[in-house]
Amino acid sequence: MKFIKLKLKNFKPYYDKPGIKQEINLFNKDRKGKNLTLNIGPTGHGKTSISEALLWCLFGDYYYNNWEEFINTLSREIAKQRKVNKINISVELVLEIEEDYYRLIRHGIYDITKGQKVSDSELSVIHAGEPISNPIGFVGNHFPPLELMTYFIFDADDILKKFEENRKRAIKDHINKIVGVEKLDGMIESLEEVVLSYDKDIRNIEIGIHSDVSDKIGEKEKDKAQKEEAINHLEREIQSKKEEKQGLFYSVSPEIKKFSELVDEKDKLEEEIIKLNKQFVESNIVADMDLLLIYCIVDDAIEKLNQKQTTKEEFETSSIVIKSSLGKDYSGIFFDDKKNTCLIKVGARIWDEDLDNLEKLNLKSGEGIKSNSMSTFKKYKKKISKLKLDFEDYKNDFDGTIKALMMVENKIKLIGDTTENRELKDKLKKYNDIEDIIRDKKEVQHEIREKKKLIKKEIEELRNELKLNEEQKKKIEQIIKKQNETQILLNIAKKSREEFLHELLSYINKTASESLRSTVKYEDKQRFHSIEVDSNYQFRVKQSNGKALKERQINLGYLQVSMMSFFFGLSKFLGKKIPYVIDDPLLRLDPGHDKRLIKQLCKTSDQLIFHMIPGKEYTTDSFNWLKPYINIQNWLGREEYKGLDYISYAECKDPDKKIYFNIDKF
Amino acid sequence: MYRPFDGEKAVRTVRLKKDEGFFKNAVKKLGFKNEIDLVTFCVAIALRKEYKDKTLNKKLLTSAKKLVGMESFDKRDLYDLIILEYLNLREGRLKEFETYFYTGFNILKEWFKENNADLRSEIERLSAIWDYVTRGNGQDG
Repeated sequence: MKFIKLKLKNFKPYYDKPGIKQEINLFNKDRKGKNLTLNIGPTGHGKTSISEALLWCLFGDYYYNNWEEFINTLSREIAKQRKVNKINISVELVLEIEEDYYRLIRHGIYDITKGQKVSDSELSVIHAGEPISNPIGFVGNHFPPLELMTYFIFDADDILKKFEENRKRAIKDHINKIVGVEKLDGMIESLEEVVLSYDKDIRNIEIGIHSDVSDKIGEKEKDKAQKEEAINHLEREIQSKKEEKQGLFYSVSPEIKKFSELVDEKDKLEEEIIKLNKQFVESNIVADMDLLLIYCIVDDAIEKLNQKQTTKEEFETSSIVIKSSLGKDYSGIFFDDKKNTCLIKVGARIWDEDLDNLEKLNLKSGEGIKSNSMSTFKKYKKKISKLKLDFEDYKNDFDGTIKALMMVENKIKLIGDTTENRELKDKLKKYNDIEDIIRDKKEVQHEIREKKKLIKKEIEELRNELKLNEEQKKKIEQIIKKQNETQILLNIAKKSREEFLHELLSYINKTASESLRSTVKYEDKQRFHSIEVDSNYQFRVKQSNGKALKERQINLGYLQVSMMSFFFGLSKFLGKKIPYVIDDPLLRLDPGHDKRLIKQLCKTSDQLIFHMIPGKEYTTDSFNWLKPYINIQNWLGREEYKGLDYISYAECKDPDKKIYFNIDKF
Repeated sequence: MYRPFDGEKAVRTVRLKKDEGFFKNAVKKLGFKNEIDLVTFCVAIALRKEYKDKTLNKKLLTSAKKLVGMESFDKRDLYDLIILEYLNLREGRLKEFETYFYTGFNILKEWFKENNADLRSEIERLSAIWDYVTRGNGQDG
């Protein structure tokens, strides 16, 4: 898709004055292979208005309901002078989609005497000279929803500023926008309410019975609800304390910054332990820990029987275990001529002289209990082998994380004990206080949860005592059925949330890493290998060996490039091939890094429209390296009109020559 | 036809108040969803200790109460077999099973007394118990 032309009528500074053609050419199809449009203009000359015009054209009142504010001030003034009642405002966008051309016209009428819009703005789409029947559907088919247009029409300076102010928050916001985690959270919350409301419905039936038991259930339910409220209240307090803790070490002091990294690392490791523990408890390993111990005995027994010089006592114990656990690997055991015990592998050849000894084995099988034994052990052995591997994985991960955590905690303690930095000491004291508060609150929360569980159990027991008639029983059964169905939906919503997030993060991490690798200089490729954003919205730049770089190891320029790689990864995830319209693309980026990132973007995008400030972003240097990609260059000028205001206009310039301007004039 | 733990109606657990309190607490602290899982875990601890250290101070479960019916005990075939084969018994199997349970239960109790305070999660506790039972040479109660 390409934006070919934009026509503006009374839109912001683009006054519809006879003699000024308010057209902005955005693409020249004769310049093949070049896909960059530059709109160059000082502040106040109408650069941002172009982005706003595009969004209003596509999304109308949904983008900005008070669009009357877009009406050019000169046109209002002149309309008053001429006693004209109504003002027309319009934006027309010519689009090319797979060599077909479309004209999108957004039009609005404003009644100046009444001071109100005549109606909502209207969109029409013309294709091959005919209006199409569903213009809004056309936009819906070819563009993402308005909130996701941020990834195609945006101000790069604002985006980077937000990343620099609070990276985690910015990442979280972006991910929420794309995956709709917040919407899913809202849905989860509503479903939880519905599940609870069914409890109330059941309660209403029980109240009708008017018995002591019913009253008791009522009291217990009330108690349960209070406990639930207390748990949620504590959760909010814990979250707020966590945020307070996170903000504690924002500082320019290098010592505090370094310390802040340690604290972040500690928090991250603690979160990993919680996550690991949660997965472990939810797995089926815990319930089968006994089987793992039994497996250990069998393992040891086989090992012992494989060793020489096994004692008789050991043999007897081991052989019993072995007899029961012989699987597909071994067919039996025997004493060799030196009275050592040996295992016979399936298919192994037994020497003649050993054959006599085989009689001593007494390995009877095939009937009664013994034949059951064999199948029982085989059944469990298969299950346990997998469990054992899973448990070892969890245990290794856990031991490694705990070890890392202890090291970080020791470092924090050491710095706390030895630092002379007063600010750091104060912050550390606050940090420890907050940690204590969080721990206490969690303990209280845990106790309340346990009490709530008990109450729930008591309620169930009381319900069993309640004498319900058949009709009431049936009603309750129906409610419980509905409650269970809602619970299923709730579980799906929760699972979807996790899966969407996982899918997005995998994609972004892959594409952003590719983008980073092709952007960074050759000699730095080894250092900056990939970008990783985890489900806690933590952002890391990783080296080739997989280890994350510390923040102080990455300069601001590379950090910005990484952020923008992440940001462009988000737009790629949306899978829409629409032009990028970017305000101030080079304003904040570090010179040198900007060149590589933008060049890469020019190579991989269909169309790019940049709004640049002359002198600051648009310079001889930037023009020279952008030149191979330039399709169209527009100078956004303005002229004063009868001393009332300025009128902006776009002037198409030679794309192969740098536009001359006098910086002192602006 | 042969049935595991033939003739036995239920698996039993501790009844004394001090034991019962610890039992329920241990179920929670180790992350077991069902109480029967702690019973078999204790049996396995005792078996493992006996196999490793040779000496096991066995404790008889004298005061007990019903935990689950035998038909609901999913691992009955396995434990019936272990007790039967391991001890080469023909009868009295549940009694032996209970003895291993109560012995393991006391090993666990001792372990909790010494180690629980510093440990914060289920995985941490089970991992430490695992190391203690499979590698350690501590007294087994």
